[in-house]
Amino acid sequence: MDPDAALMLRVKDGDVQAFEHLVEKYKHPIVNVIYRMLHDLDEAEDLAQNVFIRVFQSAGRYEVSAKFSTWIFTIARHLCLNEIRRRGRHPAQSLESSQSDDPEQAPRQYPDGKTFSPPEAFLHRELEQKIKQALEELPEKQRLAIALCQEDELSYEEIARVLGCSLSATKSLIHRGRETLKEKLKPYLRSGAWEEPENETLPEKRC
Amino acid sequence: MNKANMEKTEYQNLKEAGWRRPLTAAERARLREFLAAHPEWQETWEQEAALTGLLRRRPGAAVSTNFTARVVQAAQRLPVKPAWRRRLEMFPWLPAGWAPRATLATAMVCCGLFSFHEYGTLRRVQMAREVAGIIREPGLPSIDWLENFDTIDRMNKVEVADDGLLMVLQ
Repeated sequence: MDPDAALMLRVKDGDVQAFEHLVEKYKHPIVNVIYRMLHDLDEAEDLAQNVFIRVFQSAGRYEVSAKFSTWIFTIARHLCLNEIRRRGRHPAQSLESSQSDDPEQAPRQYPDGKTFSPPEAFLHRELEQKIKQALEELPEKQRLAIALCQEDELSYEEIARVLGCSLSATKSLIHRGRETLKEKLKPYLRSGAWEEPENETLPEKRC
Repeated sequence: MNKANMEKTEYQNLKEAGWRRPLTAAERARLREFLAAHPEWQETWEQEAALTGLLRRRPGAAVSTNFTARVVQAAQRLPVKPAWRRRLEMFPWLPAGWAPRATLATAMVCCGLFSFHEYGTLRRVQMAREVAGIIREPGLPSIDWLENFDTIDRMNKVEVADDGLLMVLQ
């Protein structure tokens, strides 16, 4: 049996420690996917918290029918899309926009492990901004497919299940999304740079 | 499948693997072999790899150190659901919210009443058809044939002959 499903069955029996294990294991991938969808760290954490609360609340009727990871990412997908729709309906209430006007609530700053010289840092920031913008302009499903594709926990088949598409449709979504990104980021895609760098993650925040 | 198609499929597989993880040494060797045979794909692959690099290089979201504790605390603070609510959750196919549930219940009751009514009508129609069938049966004798039924019946019941009456009649 999927070890995470076994943990979930323990949660069903009221084992809080099993729930803690699940949160610990999935917090980074879930926050990451939501962050890549919303580009708002605070919102990503809040939404991720909601995802785990939903998991806890649904423990009573949990049945081992699919992999736990597929299930939790599907919950995250639903909450993410709901949030995007809510933002679409109430754009003025977006946390990102309200924060930028309020110096007391300026967006959080995180130290970047990598040190750049000033021109490099400027280019790095610009590139980061361009990638973010290009990703934001992608249709929701393509963006989500690309975000899920970056998570090691999920195979292509599982990504397809989370998205509710066939395997070929999922690969097609990723392909089309990447084609659009390549088009938009063309000037930044260095020719011949296909040595893949290590994945960098920012250090954890201290609260 | 011809060789060109096989190579294309192989390239596609390598490309899809590259979207998710760094290629293994063996995969890179196969890729080099493919690109050596098809230099026209070199630029496309380089763009693919560069985009993968850009996406991988993006920093992941930094999660608060107290995130797990916060989630567990919030989960434990959740109100305990009343028994009726827990029983209701045993039927996950039920729609959420009282209005859709009331609509569903009304629809089910209406369906029940309609079915009962239809069943009654069907039974009455069936009975009427059976009666009509018997009436229309051509083999049955006419009702006039039963005119002297009582007299004949009574005659059959006389067991001893009335000698006095027979004498008078003679």
